[in-house]
Amino acid sequence: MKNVLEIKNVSKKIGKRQILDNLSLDVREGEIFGFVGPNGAGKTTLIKVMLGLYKPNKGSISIAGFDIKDDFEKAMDEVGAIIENPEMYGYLSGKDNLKLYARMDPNNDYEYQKEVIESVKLGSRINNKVRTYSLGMRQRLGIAQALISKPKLLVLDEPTNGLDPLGIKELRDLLKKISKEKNIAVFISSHILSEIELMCDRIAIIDNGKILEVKDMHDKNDTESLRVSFEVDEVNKAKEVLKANNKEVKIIENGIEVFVTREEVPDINLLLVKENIKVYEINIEHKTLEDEFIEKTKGTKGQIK
Amino acid sequence: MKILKLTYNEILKQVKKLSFKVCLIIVLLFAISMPILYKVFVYDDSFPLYYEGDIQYYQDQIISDADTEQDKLFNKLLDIKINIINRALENDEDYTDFNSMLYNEYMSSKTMSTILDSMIKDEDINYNEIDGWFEIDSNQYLDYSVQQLQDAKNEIEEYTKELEGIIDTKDYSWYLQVQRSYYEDYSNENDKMMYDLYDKLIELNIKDENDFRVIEAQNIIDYYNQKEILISEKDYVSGDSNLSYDEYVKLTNMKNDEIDKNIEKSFYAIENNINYNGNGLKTTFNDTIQSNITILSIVIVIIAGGIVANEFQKGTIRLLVIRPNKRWKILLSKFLAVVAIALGLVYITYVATFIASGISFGFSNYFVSDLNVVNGAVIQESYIFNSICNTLLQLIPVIFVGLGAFFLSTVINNTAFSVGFSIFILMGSQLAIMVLSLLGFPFIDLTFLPYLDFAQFINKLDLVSNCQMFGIYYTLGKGIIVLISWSIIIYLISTFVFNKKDIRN
Ligand SMILES: Nc1ncnc2c1ncn2[C@@H]1O[C@H](COP(=O)(O)OP(=O)(O)OP(=O)(O)O)[C@@H](O)[C@H]1O
Ligand SMILES: [Mg+2]
Repeated sequence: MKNVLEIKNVSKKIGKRQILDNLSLDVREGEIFGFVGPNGAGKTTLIKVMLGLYKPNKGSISIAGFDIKDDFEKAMDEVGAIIENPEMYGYLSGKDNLKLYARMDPNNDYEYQKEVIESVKLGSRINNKVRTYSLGMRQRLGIAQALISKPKLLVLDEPTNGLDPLGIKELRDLLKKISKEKNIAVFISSHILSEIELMCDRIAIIDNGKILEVKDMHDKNDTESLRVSFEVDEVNKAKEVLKANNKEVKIIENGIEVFVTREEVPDINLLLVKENIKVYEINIEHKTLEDEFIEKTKGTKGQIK
Repeated sequence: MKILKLTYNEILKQVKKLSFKVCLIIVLLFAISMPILYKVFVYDDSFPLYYEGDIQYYQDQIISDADTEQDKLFNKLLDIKINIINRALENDEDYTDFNSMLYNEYMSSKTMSTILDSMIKDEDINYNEIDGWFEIDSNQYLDYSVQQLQDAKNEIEEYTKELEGIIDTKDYSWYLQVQRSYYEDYSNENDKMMYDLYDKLIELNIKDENDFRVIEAQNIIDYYNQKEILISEKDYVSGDSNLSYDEYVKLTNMKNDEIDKNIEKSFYAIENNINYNGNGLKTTFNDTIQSNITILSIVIVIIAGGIVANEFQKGTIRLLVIRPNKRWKILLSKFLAVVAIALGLVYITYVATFIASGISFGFSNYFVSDLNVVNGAVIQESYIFNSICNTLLQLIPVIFVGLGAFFLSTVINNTAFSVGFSIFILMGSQLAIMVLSLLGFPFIDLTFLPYLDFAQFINKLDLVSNCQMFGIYYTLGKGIIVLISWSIIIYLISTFVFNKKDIRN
């Protein structure tokens, strides 16, 4: 698979502070790439460097094979973005704002633009002045703005900021859909892992301007043990049954807890059901990843540097 | 192509602002109302020389129980004043008529002959007091003998009669003849010149006071009086101007040449019966266009000062610079948008003023030719074409000041400062030149300060008087070169700063 985004050894200093420290990353075509880190980790800064808002002190960045320094226009042609809050012209309507951005795109496609406007579900409010929009509506308009130029890479800096739960779910669905159907790679940053974990193909964890780890969300499922809890009626019997099958079992409130791989979950369920134990609920806790995230970024100890 | 699209975007972003629409309405209202106000207040022939109230004023001064000779003379003189004012009111005398100039003289002659009469009778009067009251000078006659007084009185009375005749008949030729008589026994070059001039004007045989040729003839006389005689180099050095002698000579020659041209034009107009002032339309239209441009320059500065800084202040700059356009293109499109908006506004106000002036003064006056002197020959030119050229010429410094605001706005990212400072420069440029000139600053003509108003280049006499006032010598050509040089420097710095800038908000 080809890379749409390649970041090589990028460093950025603002004043005396080293905000990005020799940072490298690749994002592949059509994948959803999560970028997670605590407040002040440098997420927004990296995005600004990627988009040419900041000039890096060191390193190079290319988008769709074009170096942003040497081939700025071609590189930017392939990317759509929102950075922090998407500020647009309050005295223009949402639609007029989008038209402005569409006009700046060399190959604008009217049908596609209509589709984009529909996909963010602003309804007739698209014709109202942006000044009158709520935070979430602005965020939706921001996403439309990012998509309007048919990018190969979509860069979203905390796009869930201000969205209601339904909005977040819709955003996830939309991103999954466009990445699959249109083969658009999505680079999405967040400081809340659980919000994006479910839709990402890979996740990078950043802290203090350094990448701590890049995790492939697909590999993990086979080899890594997950903490899985089963809510059952006969707790002790269930424990016995699983012990007989060489599983380590812990009794918890309303049930038992085991550490198994994802593949094993249906097997265990089958074992229990065969012994006439009623299973009310199976919970796979992704806590391991969240734990890992907190563990890894503990360097800051919650203190912003 | 791309630049055009970007420019279109920038124009759209500006013109859709509420503040722009408000400015547009104000500017348009001004452009339309000024010609109408000119018509109503300046060119409606309702500038009477005297009002009824003036009579009342003098009547109140009359001393009711006058028993001394002093008081009686005072009352008599007041009576004369009142009578003359009455005559002016009956004749509907107006400031714009040539014989309004005669009334003052008529009044003082009549007053003087009455005083002389009282001197002859040797009345007991304090003439100093009378002089103060009636603004005349009778001191000169105090030690005259009776015979001398009588002669002086006769002479004045004769002159008064003549004035009365001109005033009543409103005969301009007669007026000219009287004027000519002052120079009759010319003793110097200048007097002879004036005598010949009056001779020439009398030959034109202008009788009717409403003839436009009266105005032209008066202009010619004025121009003659404005002519300046070159001082020799030796005498010049003692002067206190910063101009070198060479520059002084150039300016004076330029002024005299221009005056000669104007005289030629006026003669041509009289001889060919071309009322080239267009019955007040041209003056009104030119003045309004010039005022429009002054107001527009403020609007342009406000737009130019905000066009970059506002994007930073509102944060919209981020989504703008991540588009597939290099930064210099964004900046260029913004500058082009400022120029386009300036042109658009000038066009709209020009058309509005054109229509309003045309309705007020008659559209046919637009087609009265302008006169120009080329190689010593007077030629006729299209007024509309000249007016468009002059308007575009005056737009040059407006765009320059816009560029200045644009530059500040890019470098400092603060709308209020950029706009405020630019307007300050625009309004205070004359003062700044004077101060620099007083301090002996050597290169004022290489700064942009003297060139922020191009209206001065339209009438060369304005230019000469500005040069003399500021003590520096400059021309239109120099102005254009200096402004272009500054523009290039300013524009390049803006582009450099904008390219290198980290966008932090
Ligand atoms: N313009 C600036 N001047 C100085 N320091 C800055 C500037 N912008 C960012 N920083 C610093 O850089 C660091 C990284 O900031 P950045 O905005 O990239 O964090 P982030 O990961 O996006 O955080 P958040 O989750 O809060 O959005 C912070 O310590 C911040 O204080
Ligand atoms: Mg951030």
